Amino acid sequence: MKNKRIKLARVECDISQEQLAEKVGVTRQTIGMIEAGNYNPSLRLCIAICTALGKTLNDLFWEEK
Amino acid sequence: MRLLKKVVDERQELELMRNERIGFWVMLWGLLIVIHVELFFNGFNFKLVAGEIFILAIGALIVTVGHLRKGLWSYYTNPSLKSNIRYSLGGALVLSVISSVLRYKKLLGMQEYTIGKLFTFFVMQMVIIFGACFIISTLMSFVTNKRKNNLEEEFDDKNSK
Repeated sequence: MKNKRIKLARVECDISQEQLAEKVGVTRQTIGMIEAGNYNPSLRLCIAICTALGKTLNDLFWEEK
Repeated sequence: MRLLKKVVDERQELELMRNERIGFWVMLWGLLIVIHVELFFNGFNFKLVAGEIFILAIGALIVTVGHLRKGLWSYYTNPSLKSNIRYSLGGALVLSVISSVLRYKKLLGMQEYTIGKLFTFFVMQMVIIFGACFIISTLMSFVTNKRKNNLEEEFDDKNSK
């Protein structure tokens, strides 16, 4: 499932996939795949992404049923 | 200090491991087949495939010890008496059929045979291989379960820091 919230948060912060990737220590492709819903990141990486984007885990990763 | 610094992220590492796992299984089964084919065409001269057998044994030992240390068994079964019996029987049946056929074809050095002798040989092979497989798998499942319980205790509410 696509994670549009990460993309929105990234656009809000005005940073590219490449810049976010550099901040959290992964490749741009990994960020792209997380946003496309093709890769489930580890909790450690989720927290790093949230910290980089100034969001909580709930904001970016919680799925309401 | 590590000699080499990883340049892959967690996703790339997972994908590398996935590829390596497929490669490992292909190599393991390939090696097993190659050993048997070479043995078959070289009159069961084990000296010729000693290197291959050594590599196979080392690889299998590393996997087995690694599994035992982490209290792991397999992807599809848990260590239990039932599965030990089932897999030991399966292994014994396959190996006994193969060795009996080879004996029948006089490839394993049994010069004079009768169907009765062959059947006795087959049954003896079945019993020996089943016994060996069952004892080894039972011992290993005991160790695996013990290790699993130890790891569970180590990280339970009381002991985890």
